[in-house]
Amino acid sequence: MMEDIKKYQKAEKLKKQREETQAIPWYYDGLENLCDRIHPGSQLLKITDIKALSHDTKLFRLISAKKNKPLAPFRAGQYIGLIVEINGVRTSRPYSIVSSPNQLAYYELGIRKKEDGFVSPYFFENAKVGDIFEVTEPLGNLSYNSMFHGKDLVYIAGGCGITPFISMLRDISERAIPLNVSLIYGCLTEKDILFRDELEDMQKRRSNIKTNFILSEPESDWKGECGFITRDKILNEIGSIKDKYFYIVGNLPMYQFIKEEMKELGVSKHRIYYEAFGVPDDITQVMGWPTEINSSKKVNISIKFRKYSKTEKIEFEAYCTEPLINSLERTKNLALYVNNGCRSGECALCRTKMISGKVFVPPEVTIREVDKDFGFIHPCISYPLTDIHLDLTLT
Amino acid sequence: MVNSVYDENRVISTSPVIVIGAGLGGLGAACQLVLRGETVLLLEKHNVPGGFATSFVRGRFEFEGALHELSDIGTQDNKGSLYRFLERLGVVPNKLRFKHIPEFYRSVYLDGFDVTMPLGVDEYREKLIELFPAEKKGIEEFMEMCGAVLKGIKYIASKGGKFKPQEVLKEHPWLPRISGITLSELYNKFFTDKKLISLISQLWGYLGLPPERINAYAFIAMLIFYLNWGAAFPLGRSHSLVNAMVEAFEKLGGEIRYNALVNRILVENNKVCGVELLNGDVYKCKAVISNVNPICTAMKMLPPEVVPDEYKKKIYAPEIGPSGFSVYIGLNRSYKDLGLTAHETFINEKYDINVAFEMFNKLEAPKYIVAACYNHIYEDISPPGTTQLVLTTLQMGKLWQSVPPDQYFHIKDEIANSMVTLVENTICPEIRENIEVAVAATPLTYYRYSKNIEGAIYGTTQDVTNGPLLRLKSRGAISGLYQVGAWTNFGGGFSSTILGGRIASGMYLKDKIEGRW
Ligand SMILES: Cc1cc2nc3c(=O)[nH]c(=O)nc-3n(C[C@H](O)[C@H](O)[C@H](O)COP(=O)(O)OP(=O)(O)OC[C@H]3O[C@@H](n4cnc5c(N)ncnc54)[C@H](O)[C@@H]3O)c2cc1C
Ligand code: FES
Repeated sequence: MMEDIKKYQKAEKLKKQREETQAIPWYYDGLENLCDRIHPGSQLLKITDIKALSHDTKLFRLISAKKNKPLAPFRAGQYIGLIVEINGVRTSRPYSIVSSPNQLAYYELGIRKKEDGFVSPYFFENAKVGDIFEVTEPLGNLSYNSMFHGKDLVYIAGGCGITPFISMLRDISERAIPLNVSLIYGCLTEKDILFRDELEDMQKRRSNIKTNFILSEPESDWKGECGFITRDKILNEIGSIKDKYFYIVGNLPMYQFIKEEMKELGVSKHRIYYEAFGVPDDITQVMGWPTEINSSKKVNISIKFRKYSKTEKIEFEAYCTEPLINSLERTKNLALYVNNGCRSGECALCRTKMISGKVFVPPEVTIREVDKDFGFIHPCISYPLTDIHLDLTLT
Repeated sequence: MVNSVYDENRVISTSPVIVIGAGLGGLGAACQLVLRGETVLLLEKHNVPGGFATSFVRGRFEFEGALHELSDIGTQDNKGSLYRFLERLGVVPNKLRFKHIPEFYRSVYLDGFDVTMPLGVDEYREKLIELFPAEKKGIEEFMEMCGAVLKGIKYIASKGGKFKPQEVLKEHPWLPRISGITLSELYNKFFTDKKLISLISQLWGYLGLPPERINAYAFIAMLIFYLNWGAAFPLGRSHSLVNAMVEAFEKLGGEIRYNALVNRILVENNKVCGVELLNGDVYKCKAVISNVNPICTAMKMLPPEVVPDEYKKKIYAPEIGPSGFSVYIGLNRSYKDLGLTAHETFINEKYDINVAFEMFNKLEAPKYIVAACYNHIYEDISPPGTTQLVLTTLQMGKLWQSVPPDQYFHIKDEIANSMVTLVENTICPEIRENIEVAVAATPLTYYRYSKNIEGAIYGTTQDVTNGPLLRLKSRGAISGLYQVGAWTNFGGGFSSTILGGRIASGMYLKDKIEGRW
C-alpha cells in the first residue's frame, strides 16, 4: 500500500521536475496556419479578366488581392459569397466557383444578370478589371462524397446551375477520375447554353462523361431534345437508376418538379442531393406557401438592436414575399450587418432571434430543433407573414 | 507594473466579473455565479452557445456534435450531482428531459468477440464474471475497490473537494493509492487476462490515453460514475442542455453577448481590469473567468510581461491531449433493420490498446472507433425510418500542422472512408448503400470551433503526473483571472467541465470575500 503512496509522491515530484526543466515557452499554434488557409473567413479578390459567356452571363476571373495570401482551397461544387455595397446597402450573393479545384492561382465565377435583381445587374454593369471585392471562404456541401456517392453520377442542371458542375467535370477530366457522369442540362434557348464548346469537347475526349442539352423554348432549328426535364428524358439518358447518385442544381420550382419525376422513377430520396440556386424568384409559386396571403401584403418589422452600450429600437415595413434579410439590409439606420453565406437556409450564418411573429420557410429547409423552440430563424429564407419582432441585441 | 492601453471611449459597461466563452466550463461557472447572486457578463465569440456541445443541420438531419453519454444525471431516487445542479437552476425537471441509456456499451472486436455490457455495479460485475469465470476473484476485488474509491470521493466532496493523499490514507486508502499509478499498474493487482483488460478499458477513448499511461484515478472515477448514476442523453441534444442553461442564467440576471470575440484581457497594475473585443469594444471588470484554454489565455490574450515564467512553464509542461476525428452519418433506414443494437459501440481491431493508441499519431485508418447510434433511446432524433450514427476516433491535432492545404480534403476523405469501412466490416455491412448524408470533422474542424490548441478535446492528458489531483487548478496566470474548461481540474467531458466551472466560481467568491484582488 505504501508503495502506491510513494508512487504518488514520485508523480508529484516528476511533475515539479517537468515544470522546472520546461524551457520558457513561446507561443506557437501550427493549426492556426492551416486553419487560416482552409477557413480564412473572408478573402480579398481582384478581378483580372472579364469575358462574355452568353448574352446575359459573364465570366469573371479573380485572383487574391493580397500578396502572400493564396486563395483558399475548395471542393469542386462549392461556392463563395460575393460581398458588395450598393448605394450604402451591404449584402452578399452566393456564386459557384467554375474554375478547377486543381489550381488556386485564381477563381472563376460565371455571373448571370438577373433582370430585376439587385446585385447581379450592378456587378454585371459596373465591375471592371482591377476592382477589389471581399468574398467569403468557399462554402457549401455540394461535392463528390466518396463515402457513399458511388461511381455512377447524374448531374441535372437548370440554366446558370451548370456552374458548379463545370468545376466538378473539369476535376474529373483533369485527374482522369474513374467516375461515370451523365450531365442533363436544361436551358431556355440555344443561346442560353453556357460552356457548350467545353462540354462537347470533354464528352469527346472522355468516354466516362456524357452530356445532353434540353431546351424548353428552342428555336425551330434546334435538333436536340426539347421540353422540361421529365422522367422519360432522364431514364432515356441514363438507362437505369440502379446505383446512380443524382445532383440537382437549379431554382426551387425546377427542383420541386424534378423531385416528383424522381419519385415516379423510384429514385430513393437518399440518392439525390439538391442545391437551391438562390432564393425563389416568386415565393408564392413555391409549394407550401399559404395561398391566403396576398402577394402585395406588407407587414411591420420591429427590431431591438445594440448601438454601443445602448439598446435601440427601429420599425419599418417589409413585403411578405421578400426574404427578411433583404428588408434588413435595406434598412440603413440599422447600423448592423447580418452575417450570411448561402442565402438559402443551409449554412446557419444568419441565425437570428425572433421574439414574436410568424414566418414562412419553404418545406425543404431544416433548422435546428432547439432553435425552433427558442425562436431562432434564418432570415435569408424566412418570409414574414405577420408583424415580426426581432432581437438583434444578441449579436 | 503593467497597465494596458485601451480606448476609454469604447468602454461599454463595467461588471464585477466577466466570463469569456460559453462552453460548458464557462456556462458552469456563469450559472453558479448567478445562483450566488453575482452580476455576470458572458461573452461568446460564436453565434451559438455551447462550444463543442452543439448540433448542426445537414439535409433533414440534425446531428449531435459531441455528446455520447452524459454521466452524473442519475434517477429520481439516485440523483447525480449534475442533475442536482440543474435542479437548482430550475432547468430540470420541466425545461429539460433526459433519456436514459439502458446498457453501458457494446464492444466488438475484429475476431468476432462481441458483448454488450450492462450498467449498474452488480450487473457489470456479474457480466464480467460470466465472461471470464477464471478471473472471478480478481473481478470481485476490483469492483470492491471501485466501491471504496467512490466512498472516498464522496467523503472528499463533503470536505469541499480538496485533499492531501497522506491525510485520507487511514479512512479511504484506495483513493490515494490510485492517485499516483497508471491504470495498468492497478489492473496488475487484480487480473492479467488481456481480453478482460481490454473490455473493462473500453472507455479509454473518453480520456484519450491507454491504460499503460492513464492515471488510474481519472479512469476509475469515470467508470464508477457511469456504473452508479448511469448514462443519459438530453432530449433536444446537447444544444438543449446548453440553451436551457443559458436561459436559466439570463433569468437569474446574467447577461450574454454572442459574436463577441475577446481579443485581449486588460490589466491595471498587473491585475485584471477588463477585456477588449476584436472590434475594439471594451468591457471593464474586476475579475475574468476564462473558458479559453490556458495557453491562449496566458500567452495570447494577456500582456506577455504580466505572466510569470513559472506559470508559462506550468501550462506547457503537460502533454497536450488528442483531438477528434468524427464522421456524422444520416442513414435512410431504421437502425432496427441495420442491426445497430446499442447506443454506444466500441469497435476494436485488436485487444492491445497500445496498438490502437499508436494510430492516434498517424494520418491513417484508425484501429479503434466508437459508433454512437442515438435512435435506440431517442427515436425522434432523426426523421421516421432513418438513423443517426456518429463514428468517432481520436487523433493528435498536431499531425495536421504539416498537411499541405491542397491535400487537406483528400486526407480527410480517406480517413473518413476507412472508418465507414471498419463499420461495414463489423457491425453494419449495409451501411454504405443506406447513407443519405455523411460529413467528417477533423482536428482542424474542432480547432476552428473551439480555438483549443491543437484542437484538443480534453485538454492536457491525464497521465500519472497530470491526474485529477495534479492538474492545473482554477486560479489563472494573474490575480483576478480564473481558468475553466477541460484543461483544468478534473479535465474533459461534459459533467467534469461543468463541475470545473463551478469549482472556479467558488474560488472566485472565496478570493473576493478574502479581498485577494
Ligand atoms: C449555392 C449557390 C451558387 C450559385 N452560383 C451561381 C453562379 O455560379 N452563377 C450565377 O449566375 N448564379 C449563381 N447563383 C445564383 C445567384 O446567387 C443569384 O442569381 C443571385 O443571387 C441573383 O442576385 P440578384 O441580386 O441579382 O437578385 P435578388 O437579390 O435575388 O433579387 C430579388 C429581389 O429582391 C430585391 N432585393 C434583394 N436584395 C435587396 C436589398 N438588399 N435591398 C433592396 N432590394 C433588394 C431586388 O430588387 C429583387 O426584386 C447561385 C446561388 C446559390 C445558392
Ligand atoms: S445565409 Fe445561410 S442560412 Fe441564412
